[in-house]
Amino acid sequence: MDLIAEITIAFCLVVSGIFGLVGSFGLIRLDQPMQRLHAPTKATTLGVGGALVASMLWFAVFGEGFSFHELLITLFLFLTAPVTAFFIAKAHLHTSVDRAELPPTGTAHDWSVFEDPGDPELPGEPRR
Amino acid sequence: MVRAPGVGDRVLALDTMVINAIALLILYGVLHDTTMYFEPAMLFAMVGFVGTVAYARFMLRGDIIE
Repeated sequence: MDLIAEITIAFCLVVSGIFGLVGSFGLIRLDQPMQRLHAPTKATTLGVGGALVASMLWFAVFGEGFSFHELLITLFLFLTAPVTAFFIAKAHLHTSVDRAELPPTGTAHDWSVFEDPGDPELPGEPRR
Repeated sequence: MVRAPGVGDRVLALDTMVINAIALLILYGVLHDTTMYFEPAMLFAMVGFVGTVAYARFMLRGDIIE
């Protein structure tokens, strides 16, 4: 039983190490900024997930019982990683991509809206 | 993070560094067989998320709190 647990933990650790390395290496090596966004946000999240699963198994089998801390951290990271990726992508699009460079959307509307937003004039402060 | 070509890449590198630091903290906790390192990992995750969102907002709007 201990041997199976140790093999599983070692497998999780190796997988997490490979994913973390690929994510961090892709951040350095990829060309376009949007490609660079892909590598760390997905691969590194999976790497941390593997490390957390390994830690959870370790403390459940050899430590002082099952603990919920890893599950909390995993949940938090998996919830926040897409949000941060979306924010960075949006900032990049708004700051350094020209409107004319964007590919056509295939619909009658512009990017990032599903339907016609209507009159863009809002009361109060002018939008930046 | 130091020799990044753009501002977005710097923020992305910071985010990656925080995530790797969380993984290192957890591995350190397993190494020393203590559950004490989970609270710092959780705090790193929260502060990293808030910091990245604040930086992205700063890039977008030039201001954090409007």
